[in-house]
Amino acid sequence: MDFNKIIKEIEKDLARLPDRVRKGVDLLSSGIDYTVATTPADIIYTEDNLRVLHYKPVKDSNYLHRPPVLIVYALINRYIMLDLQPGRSFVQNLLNEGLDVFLLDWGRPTASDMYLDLDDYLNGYLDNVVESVRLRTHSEQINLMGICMGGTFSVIYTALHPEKIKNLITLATPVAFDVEDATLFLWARHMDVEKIQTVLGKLPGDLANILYLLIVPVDTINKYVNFLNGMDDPKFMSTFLRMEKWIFDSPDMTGAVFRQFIGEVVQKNLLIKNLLQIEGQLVDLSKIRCPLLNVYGKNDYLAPPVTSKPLAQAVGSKDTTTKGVDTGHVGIFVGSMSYKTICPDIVTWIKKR
Amino acid sequence: MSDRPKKNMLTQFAEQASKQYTDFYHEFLGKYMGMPPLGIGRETMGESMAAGEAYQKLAMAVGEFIQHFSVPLTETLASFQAIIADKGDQIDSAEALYSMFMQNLDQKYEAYLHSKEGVQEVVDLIDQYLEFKQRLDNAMIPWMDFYNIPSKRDMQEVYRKLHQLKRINRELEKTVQEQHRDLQRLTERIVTLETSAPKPKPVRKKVATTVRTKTTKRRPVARKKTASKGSRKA
Repeated sequence: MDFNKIIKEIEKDLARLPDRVRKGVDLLSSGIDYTVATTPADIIYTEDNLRVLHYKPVKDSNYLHRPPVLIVYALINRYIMLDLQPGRSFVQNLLNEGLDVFLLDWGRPTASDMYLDLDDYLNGYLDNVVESVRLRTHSEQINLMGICMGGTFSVIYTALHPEKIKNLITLATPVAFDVEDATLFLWARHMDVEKIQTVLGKLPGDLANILYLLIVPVDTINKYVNFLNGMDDPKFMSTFLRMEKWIFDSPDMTGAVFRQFIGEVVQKNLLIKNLLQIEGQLVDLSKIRCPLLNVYGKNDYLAPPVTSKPLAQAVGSKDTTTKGVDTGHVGIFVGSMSYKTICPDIVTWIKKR
Repeated sequence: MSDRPKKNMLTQFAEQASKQYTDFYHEFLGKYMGMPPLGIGRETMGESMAAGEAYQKLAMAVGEFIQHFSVPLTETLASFQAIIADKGDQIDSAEALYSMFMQNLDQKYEAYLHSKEGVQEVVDLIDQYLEFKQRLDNAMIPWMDFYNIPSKRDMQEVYRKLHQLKRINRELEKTVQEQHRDLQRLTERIVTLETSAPKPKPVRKKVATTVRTKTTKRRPVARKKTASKGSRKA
């Protein structure tokens, strides 16, 4: 190792830093564009805090693939990650492939929503949304696409209402939680969820953010070191600010759904064992007979492959496809691989069924 | 963490300071915070003192957490010299050096956060925070009651009732929708039955040609001529 060479490189970098910072500050104060979720959409249904977006089709309506796709996002963070910016938009990619795309935005729960539980979210809100999409598109069944916790919700919903779903697509979706690989679920298994619901009434979005950052402290530091390196590049700055906006835009999660999801689905692992009950109704995964596409990221540390892969064996469907991609949790939606391979593969799979 | 390398002076100092503060608190402050209060405001004072104590415990837990959380960093720094000596030929730039350091640091943090102690540290910290929050809410209740401001406990009761009403409303809406669908089905069935039923034969009716009104005179009806009675010949 040539220490002199390394020291000279460090000196060079440090010498460039003030100029880079100055340019970065100029960029930040120049009104740089970092708007998100810019793909045009109509709001076709609202209920309490939630709303359903119907994205304006790119193709002529005669050439739209039917039935429509309803994307169910997670309660954690917001859907804007799916539509980060032109050229890095998962939603736009689906539209370009000729799909009719709807998206469920859960909104931001308030203190008065603290008693909303899984039954309210699934048999209430989600069922009403599915009905509204069916009515609007005159479809007997729809394609249901769930993301992360939204995927877990979609799996439970499909098991309870299989007659309404044509195809089920789950992306980065954890269903089995009795694993040692996932730090987040390790923490969740030891938390006193009853106390969190009683004392806080919710899982605060800020607390959730802190926990996510704590899982990967080194990546968090690296992110800001890379920011210093690229802050004089407008393109880099714009993308970075958009990601920051999404990362720290975490709505609260209502206390009841947090207690039920963490307590029953994560801590007791009832879902994959077919023992989960929603208001007395058993969630039996074998009732899912529609085709299933399950996509997971091989480098996903939030929902590791081992939490996602068991879904295919648990459902009753004979047409199941499990696909691992070389990305992390977010890479399925925003990376270049999403645009080049993941999205086209998902659309091909849907169109074949 | 029993196989950790020998602690450096900074870590020892931090641990010593933390222990001294904890001992000081328990010996000099804690026993007064736990004293039973007297008088009319005893309940309020008791809750306030409990909240104060919970805050102190939270502060101590945060300090301990930060201290333990920095151990992987100090371990990586301590072992990095040896790593450079071992893998120095693989490092040919500052960037490579930085990457190697961060990789090692990442491995140490992953091991720590996955360990039993690491998980317990995080869970204990959250527990202490919840304990403090609960004590604080309890301490606020008498003051909120005094000023007639709805407390968190009061509002939670309102939200519970609101949720129950929402549930009832949802059930009623579903019932109405089902009945609406049933009605639609019945209507369709009736229409189908009506259109498929055989058409009845038309009945011939004798329809009167005159319409009698009070002003209309009755037209004499032409009678057939018959033989008169008087014309009978014997």
